Amino acid sequence: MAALLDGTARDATALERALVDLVRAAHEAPALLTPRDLAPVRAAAGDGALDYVLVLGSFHFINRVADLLGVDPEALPETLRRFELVRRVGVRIAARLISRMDLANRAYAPSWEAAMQRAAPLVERSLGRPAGDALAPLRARPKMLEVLALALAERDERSTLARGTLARVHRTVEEVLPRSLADSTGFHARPQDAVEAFAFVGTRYPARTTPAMIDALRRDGRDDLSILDLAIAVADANNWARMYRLLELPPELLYVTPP
Amino acid sequence: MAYVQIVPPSRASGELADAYRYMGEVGGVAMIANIVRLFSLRPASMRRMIRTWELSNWVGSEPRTTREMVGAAVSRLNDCHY
Repeated sequence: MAALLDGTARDATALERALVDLVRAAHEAPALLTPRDLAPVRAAAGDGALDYVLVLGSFHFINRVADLLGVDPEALPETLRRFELVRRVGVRIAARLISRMDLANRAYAPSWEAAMQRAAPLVERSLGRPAGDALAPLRARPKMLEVLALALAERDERSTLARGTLARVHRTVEEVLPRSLADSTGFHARPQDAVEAFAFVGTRYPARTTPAMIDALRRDGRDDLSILDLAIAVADANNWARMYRLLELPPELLYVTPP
Repeated sequence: MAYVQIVPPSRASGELADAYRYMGEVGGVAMIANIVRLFSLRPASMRRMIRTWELSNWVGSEPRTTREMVGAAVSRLNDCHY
């Protein structure tokens, strides 16, 4: 992985190199992403490029949920990771578990029309107009419509966050989205507001989330469910910030404006 | 320890137990990853996370290994502690 990321892997395929360039661009300067960044992946994988955009976005989502909520590492506590023997045993156990998983590709049965019919009410409510051709960039992968509909249902039907809070999260994510590597690796003043600070750190460097930030949210009157919803909102917005830029989708589909 | 309350599979009932079972069906193994348990306060959100994961990592025509490579690269650059 290190050789792939630093460009020294001699046996890397054209697709792997294109993907690493895309992953790097989406990390270092996601605010500057355009469909041109996806073009080399499209040249190597055709419509499979959409599969990779989904994977890329999903990991930006799940990494943020993990770090913003401080999930425990799977196999070994931090204190035991320094012992190589213990680490090796942990890797073997993890490898055995993964080897039992079904890793074969699975088919997606619904047609574009069927997937669109299911997603349309949520999409039209978000856009405030019929979808028209707004989702045409996803046509080669109808599963993307389901992913989108699931995110919209999470936002509109489950989240306990007020519309104004969601709007603040979305605005903060867009405002602080990295435009250079320095934005995601340096040290910067954080917003005073607890929600905006959570969105700021969650966008630039979620691994730096601290218990003090969670305490600030609790002092703000937020319970566990509200904090879960905030983490989901920040993570969804970071996924979306990349996806809509790469695929030329309307930003307002997921982002909400203040009521 | 996570910053929010987690209800483990051993104490789950009703909708949450169903969501944990759904994870087992999708993943094909009984183990429930900690990242999945994070969503235990709302089973519907857990189901959404699991289904999105399936659509992202299993459904499609691209090689699973290449998709995993993308995920690993994103996680490494994000310095994700998980």
